Amino acid sequence: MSNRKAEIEQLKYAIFSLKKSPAALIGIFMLTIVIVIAIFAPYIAPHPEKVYDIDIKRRLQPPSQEYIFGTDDHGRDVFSRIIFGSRISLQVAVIVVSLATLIGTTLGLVAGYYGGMLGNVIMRITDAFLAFPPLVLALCIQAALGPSVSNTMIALSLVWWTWYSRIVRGQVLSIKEELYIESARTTGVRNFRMIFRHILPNCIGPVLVQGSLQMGYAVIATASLGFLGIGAQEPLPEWGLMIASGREFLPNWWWISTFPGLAIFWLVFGFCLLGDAIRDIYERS
Amino acid sequence: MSKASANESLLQVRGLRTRFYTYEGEFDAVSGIDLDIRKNESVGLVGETGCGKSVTALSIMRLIQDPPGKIVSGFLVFKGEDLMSKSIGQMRAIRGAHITMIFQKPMTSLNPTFRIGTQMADIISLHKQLGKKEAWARSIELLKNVRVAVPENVVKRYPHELSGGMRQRVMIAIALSSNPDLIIADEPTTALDATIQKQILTLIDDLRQEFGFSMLFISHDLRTIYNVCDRIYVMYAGKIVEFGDIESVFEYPAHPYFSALMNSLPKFDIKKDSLGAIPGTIPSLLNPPTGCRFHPRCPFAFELCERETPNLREVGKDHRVACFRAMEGKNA
Amino acid sequence: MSDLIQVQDLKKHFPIGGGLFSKSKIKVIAADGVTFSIKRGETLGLVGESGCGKTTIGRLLTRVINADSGKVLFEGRDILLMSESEFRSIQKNIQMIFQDPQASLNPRMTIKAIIKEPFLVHRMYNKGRGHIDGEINRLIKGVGLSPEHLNRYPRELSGGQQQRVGICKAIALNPKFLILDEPTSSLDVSVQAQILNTLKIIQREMNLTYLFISHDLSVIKHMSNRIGVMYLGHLVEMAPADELFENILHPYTQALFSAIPTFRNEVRRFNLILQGDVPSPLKPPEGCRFHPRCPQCRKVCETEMPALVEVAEHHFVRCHL
Repeated sequence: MSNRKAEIEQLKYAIFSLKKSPAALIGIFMLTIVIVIAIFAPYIAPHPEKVYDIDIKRRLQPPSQEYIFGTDDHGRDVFSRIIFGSRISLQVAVIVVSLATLIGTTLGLVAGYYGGMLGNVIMRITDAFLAFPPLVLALCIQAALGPSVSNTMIALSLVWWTWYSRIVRGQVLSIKEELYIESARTTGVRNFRMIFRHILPNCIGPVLVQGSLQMGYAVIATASLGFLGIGAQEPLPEWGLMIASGREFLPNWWWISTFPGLAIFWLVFGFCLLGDAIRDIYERS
Repeated sequence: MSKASANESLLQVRGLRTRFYTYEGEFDAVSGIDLDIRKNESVGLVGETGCGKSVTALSIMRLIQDPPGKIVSGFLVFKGEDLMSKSIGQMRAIRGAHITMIFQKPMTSLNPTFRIGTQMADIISLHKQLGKKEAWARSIELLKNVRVAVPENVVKRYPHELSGGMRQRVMIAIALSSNPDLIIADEPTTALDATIQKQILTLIDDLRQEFGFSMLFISHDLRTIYNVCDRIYVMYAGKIVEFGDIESVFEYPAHPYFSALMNSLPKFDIKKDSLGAIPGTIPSLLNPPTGCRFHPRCPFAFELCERETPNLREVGKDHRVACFRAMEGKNA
Repeated sequence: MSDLIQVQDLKKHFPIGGGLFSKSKIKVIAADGVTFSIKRGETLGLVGESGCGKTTIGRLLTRVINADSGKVLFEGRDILLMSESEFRSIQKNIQMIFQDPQASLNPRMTIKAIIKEPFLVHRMYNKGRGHIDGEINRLIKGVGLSPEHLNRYPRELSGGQQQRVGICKAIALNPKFLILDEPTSSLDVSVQAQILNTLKIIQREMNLTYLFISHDLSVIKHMSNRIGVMYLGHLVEMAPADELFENILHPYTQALFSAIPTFRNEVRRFNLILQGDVPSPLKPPEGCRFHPRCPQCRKVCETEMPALVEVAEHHFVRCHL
């Protein structure tokens, strides 16, 4: 249809802008590597069987040709574990941000559009959540739910939706005053269509930008909770957990903690660069 | 409206070309124009969106931001000196002291977080070293000049507490504060109500008589220009297409664009069923038409118009037109 | 020709301030008992300066804002009393064209989607999708746009083109009544001429009734059959266009006409320059709202509000003189 054409033009311009920004390209490159690694993990990892198997004989071996990043105190191949760990990190990033944006955007839309008592209640709940330091709150929720990666995802989503709710509500309030909304109302557009066709597309920008940046924070938060021992549990190859388990072996057997740390840096930096690029494109359009 | 007879020249613009570099390409917002403003004269610069009139004003003040724009050629001779050769510091001294500017939306020119008196005092002390008390006193004096009823009250107010007309008086007072030779007004009354517009325009006229400055009045409103200016320049797509003494030009709009523009205005004295609309749209400056820029929309165009750009030629006393056809007296 | 629209004693005020638990005490009186009617096929021009309430009247008629009191009879029925669903059935007959063409179009919708929306909203797709596309093509041709514009976004069009889209959207479902709120104020002179011509053509073709709101007297004179002059929420004078310009009765109207610049051929009959600013609608003066600025103010004007009286044929004035 003809609408398709216009969307393709927009996409072309977006891709053009991306091409112009070296930061964006680097970010995409970094992320693509991680995504490919995650998808093809069993084929890329040199020792897939050594991710979980404990082999005392091969403990604490330094990086070598056979074990690129060395082995940890259980004799597991650090490199292969990192590769498999990428699946966990990516999963968490995507699921947490998706849930948080879904909950937050919905609540923000309702609070902003309908206002009144309902809007007030929603915003006060949001304020209540926002009053706690986010990581502390996540910690408490995780502690209550029990240690596991899925509970980490739930905990983080429950803490982070508040940001979207507040931002979206603010956007909705200002969009409601726009002339095209009045024009739509004069045409006879009703609430459902007004919200999804007119208001939502115009307030999604900050959500997208923040969402892409928050994927990086999600990775860090998960790693932090894993590091503290209340998130991911052994024997999962979660990167934060790996750092924690290698802590007592520093500095002699440095490779156990260092490489997972570098992996986290790589992924988060990639998300940040991409997030900045998305924000630049959005602001320009 | 005072008639400026053979007065001394104040500002001479020759061959001004201002170019902008954008994502879509480069284009000349102003494509080689000549302009003259004499002492004690009010000159109107008229045109529609994109014709380059505002860019011309900013170019004269050398306020074009680089990037994305730059004056690539031309002379700006002000009181005998070429402004193009001035340094940034020298330009700054000239701006505000000899050439000042009034903008369209006074709300955006005034800082909403400072009182009127503070802002006026700040600006006054830029060019004259005055103590705080003296600067405030001078501000009150200046507001009296622009016929503000109780200036002592106005200086204590914030911009949003004043009406549009009052804010514009403040802007005029600021522009007058250094007793400039030339005031450039870019659509100063467009955003104001009709009755207030009349007040402000009458005020400007009175002030011109009193203080003797020249004015470059930029507008898209032909009636205002007719009532305020001694001479007029008409711009289209970055070029000047007609200029001269105001009565001559309005009596006989020689350029097809200008005469079509006059035709498209609803009039008070003639009742018409439909207005004379100009077909087509304003050309893109990225790829302007060859030859005369108006030829694709001109009902009188012939093949020369596409090949060559017409020069400004005399078509009456103090009245020049850039049109091959106008020379033949083609329109009545 | 019967009356299509009858507005009776329409009032609207906007409270300022106030909080969760307190009612605000300050009100801006936008419309204070406005009464007029428009015949089928006629254009009524509404002119006045900022704060006079003319834009508010337009928005009250589309029910975008709620009136405080008064009646608006459309084809004899009071639309202010109708429920939402009742109103929806006649809503497509009352449409509006807005002052800022770019702001009136959703920046994230293509032109095609924008023009299609009225059809979708009022469920006019039972004749098949091809039918709607055909209608859209017919509409855009009628206003001077071309099919290539359909795939673009509003910001890619010029002001004039954007306003044409606004017109398409408004006439898509064959309305009877159009409110035009300063439709050409933000457009260049040459574009304004095109748009005004188009508006006249479609009015003839579709037998539309117009309420034309503007601050530009020359445009109002060109477009209107009758003209109403508003000041601080009141109609102070109303007359057929030609009659008004021949015979201006209200002092404010005289001042308004004196204030506009004219060309040499446009002879001015008055030269009344008002002093001072337009008073704030927050605290309108007692009695006749215009009395503080009126050069012919008398004792009675300070205390009593004059009524709108027919002084000459079809010529109404609100003044003690």
